[in-house]
Amino acid sequence: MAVEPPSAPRRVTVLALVSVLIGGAVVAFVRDDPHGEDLWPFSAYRMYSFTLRTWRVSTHRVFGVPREDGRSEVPLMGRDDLYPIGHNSYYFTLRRIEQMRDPARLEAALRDTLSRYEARRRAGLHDGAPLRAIRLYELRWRLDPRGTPREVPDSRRLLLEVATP
Amino acid sequence: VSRGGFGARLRDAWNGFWFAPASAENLGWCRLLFFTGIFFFFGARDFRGFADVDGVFWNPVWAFRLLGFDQPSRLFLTIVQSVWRIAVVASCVGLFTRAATLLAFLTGTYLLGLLYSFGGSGSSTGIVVFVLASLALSRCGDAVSIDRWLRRRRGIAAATSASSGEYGWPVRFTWVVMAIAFFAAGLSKLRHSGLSWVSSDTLAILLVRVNHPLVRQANAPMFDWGLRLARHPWICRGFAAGSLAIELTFPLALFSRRLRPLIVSAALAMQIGIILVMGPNFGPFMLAYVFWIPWDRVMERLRGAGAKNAAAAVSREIPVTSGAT
Repeated sequence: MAVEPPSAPRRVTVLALVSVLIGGAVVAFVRDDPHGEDLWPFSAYRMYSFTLRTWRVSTHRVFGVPREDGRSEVPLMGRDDLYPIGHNSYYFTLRRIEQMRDPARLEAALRDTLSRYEARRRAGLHDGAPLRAIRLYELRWRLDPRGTPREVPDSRRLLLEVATP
Repeated sequence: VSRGGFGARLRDAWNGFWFAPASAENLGWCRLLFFTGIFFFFGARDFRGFADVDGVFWNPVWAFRLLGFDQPSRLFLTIVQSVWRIAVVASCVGLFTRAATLLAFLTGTYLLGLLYSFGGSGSSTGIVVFVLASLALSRCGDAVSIDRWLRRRRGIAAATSASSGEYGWPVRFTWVVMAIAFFAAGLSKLRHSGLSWVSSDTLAILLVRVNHPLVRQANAPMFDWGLRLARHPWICRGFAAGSLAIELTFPLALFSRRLRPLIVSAALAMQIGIILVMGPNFGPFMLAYVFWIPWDRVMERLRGAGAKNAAAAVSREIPVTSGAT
């Protein structure tokens, strides 16, 4: 099939676009931030790239303490719990804040999470339980490849608690 | 081969790849389907809540930092979001397509960048920005659009050719974006893990992790099949080897017509499989698959089948009608 000669502006446009795409991809790959922060919209696509050698896993998760029952705790994982930030983005950002080792920032993050949850609940935007506090835990698990997934970890450690004023 | 000869061949190969004649209709359908998908994934999404989030979560992407963008106000987000929604709908139906696609690119890039500025886990949205850019710079509204219909009414549609080098490059550009994404993902696995990504229990462990509600990092998987797969380490290693092979060989789909359907179908099946058993949201990324389908030929076949059916129906009708009269 004969190739129609493109106009000069079109050639330049496509060349520029392709150069930006490939240049950005190379820079993103070479840089490959160890904390997983991409040069968005370019990416090193490191998701699931690391070898996992152990069935042990540790995660940090936020739990809400219901106002009516101070002894129970509910994990804040759903879309409405953390709105407008998605679950994955929320815990990614929380980990970044934790790595700053600045307790005031971490407390501000949890306090904001609690106040947004409560404000949306009072506005009738979700039907979660009223909370009097939220707690950040480190959870440790020993996963069983042949077992049923569990809600309860093998051990947990309280990292921080923030209560409503 | 002389230097001039090599340069000329290289230039011809470049022009042949990007500017081979393609139909306006194909690009028109790609535009319509891509923006339909964009509206499905982001049309109802309310971005205004980001104005109320504490600044401690604000971690702007490099471009926002470079341009000095602060965390936006609710009013600003209301305006940008409204423009985005109107631009996406107009781009979809092809109304004022040049302006609409440009606005969709600008507002879409901003809003998707905003999502990323509150948590760096959006590699599946990056591809959307590049596709939006290519459509904004192309003549994707020359067919399958209200603009085309209006031009025909005014009698100026003949000025637009049905096939031209102008209509192929946005499709090819999307192919290249996808090839880079897959190849980079494969390369990243080799870089960080080497072949142990395949030979270890990594995939089995991942499959178990995603089924633990408090452990997983993405959405819940649709099915718990991953737990059953994890009990068979060699099957997991086989899947790991297969996925790595698909990622690393995906660029071949750009150049080999014979391998293209095989590689692209395999990648699609892999991503669907990952969504089903592992949960991450590849939805926006997967919209780019519409650019691999030759919609002009699909429509031609459908029209041909429609015409055949109509002709068959008429031929069935005639004896009945003639017998009745």
